[in-house]
Amino acid sequence: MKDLLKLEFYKLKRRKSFYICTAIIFIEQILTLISTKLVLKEDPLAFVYLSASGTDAMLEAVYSTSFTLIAGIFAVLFVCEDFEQQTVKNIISKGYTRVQVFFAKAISVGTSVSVMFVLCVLFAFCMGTVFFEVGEAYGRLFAIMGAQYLAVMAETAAAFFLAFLLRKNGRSIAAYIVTPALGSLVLSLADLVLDNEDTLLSEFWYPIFIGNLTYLPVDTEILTRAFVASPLYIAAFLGAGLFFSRKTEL
Amino acid sequence: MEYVIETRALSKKYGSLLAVNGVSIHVKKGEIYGLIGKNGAGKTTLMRVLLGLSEANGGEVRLFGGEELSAARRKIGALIEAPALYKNETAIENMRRFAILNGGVDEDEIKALLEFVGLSDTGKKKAGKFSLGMRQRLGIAIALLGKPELLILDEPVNGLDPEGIKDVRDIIVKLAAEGVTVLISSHLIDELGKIATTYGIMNCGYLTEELSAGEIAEKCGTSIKVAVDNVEEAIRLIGEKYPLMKAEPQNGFVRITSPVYDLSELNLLLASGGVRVYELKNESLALEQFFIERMGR
Repeated sequence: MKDLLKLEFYKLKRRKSFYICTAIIFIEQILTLISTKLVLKEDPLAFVYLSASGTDAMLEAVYSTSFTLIAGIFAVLFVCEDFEQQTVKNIISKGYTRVQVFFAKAISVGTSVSVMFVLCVLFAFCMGTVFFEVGEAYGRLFAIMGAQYLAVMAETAAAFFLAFLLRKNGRSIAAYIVTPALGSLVLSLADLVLDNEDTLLSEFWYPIFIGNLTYLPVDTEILTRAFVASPLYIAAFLGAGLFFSRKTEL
Repeated sequence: MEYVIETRALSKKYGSLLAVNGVSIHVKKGEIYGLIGKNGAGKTTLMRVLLGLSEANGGEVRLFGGEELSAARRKIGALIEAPALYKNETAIENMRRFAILNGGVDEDEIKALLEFVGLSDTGKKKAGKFSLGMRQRLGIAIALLGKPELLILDEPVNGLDPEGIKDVRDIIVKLAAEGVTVLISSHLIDELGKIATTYGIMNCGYLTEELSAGEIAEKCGTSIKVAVDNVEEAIRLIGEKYPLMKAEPQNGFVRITSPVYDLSELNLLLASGGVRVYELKNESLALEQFFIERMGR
């Protein structure tokens, strides 16, 4: 397992798509800040609804960019490479089990997306400070960032599961893009049928967590939901992915 | 007897198709075991099950005398079906990646192996741009990483020119001399005939025969082919008159492998027993013909 992890991290280090994805997120953040600056120049009162500080930019770093989409696509590309090129055969025939391959990839993908998240958030804070000012230190800032991180990992886990299930780049990316909308539709229909006003199932669908965790104030209920549901989604997606990977004929 | 590879009634099904059916194979240390069979006989499926790429539906696989399978597979180098390569990486980078799996990157070993297979001058060319022969050579080099004790090669000379085929043959013979066990499948029966010490013949998922090279040499010696209208009756008559004669049915005729001194007497025996004889001739079986007759139609 040690050698397998070494291989995955070695591949990760050499993977151009990791650096390209991170650069794209940085560029998106800069463009967002530039457009905010231009809007504020035209309409100084717009600061009421626009984020114009380092801490604001940090809070919106994930939502205002295509972070979850890019991280998900990166996860798919990284996982599917060994299946598409059949190099996973060489790994299995060396005595590594499908479970070991699964967890080695989970650890390397989880690590790379975590690094991308930290870099994204820090870059946003720095650029927001450069463009505007540092901003307020909100009371629950770190709790919100923690919940956002878990929500991002839940989305990445979804991409990871789809990659192991479908084992092809195109299909996996398409499924990753379509699944949030499809799930949202199904849960909204379920809410209509159940007609329960207190608890809506659609509010527990993972893709909406990031949006709910971006703009202040963030309700305690929303924060709790993200902290509880995101790890459950991560566990469910990884569990399902592990189940399918064990059945794989290579 | 401890075998490097031993299977007991191994079976593998794809849907309703039994690709491997009750196969019990025995490969001893240091052997070059040639697996022969026509397309779809089950050779590749058997190798895939040995390597853990497919799960058996029945039976047992034992490697290196019964070692734990994961640990045993660390001692195997394999090339199954088309070589699996990182297409956007160079030859040396492919080697580095798989060397990590073997416990570490030894640049000297990598360079030596690439030179061994004739790929030392590919430079920055990506594996995806290699010819079939080059990809095959790189696949063999990857299989040789980490000095495996067992090599499993599925059609390793596919796409190679005659010089390449000879090079692979020489590599296999050299490795066997160093104590490496080799399980190799090939359609090129003549090529296998030059190196294999033992043969396993597969047909429709069954392992029909396991023979040593010596046994084959004996069987491919002069024999008599008798084409008759009733094979069973012919064999019964021959068995009655010549109890020590080895007569076997083979694809609709009788094959006699023990010496027969008077063919005319044999002809008379069969004719007087009511068996029509269409052909009666001495034959030296070519290796190819020997296997073709056993691989089935």
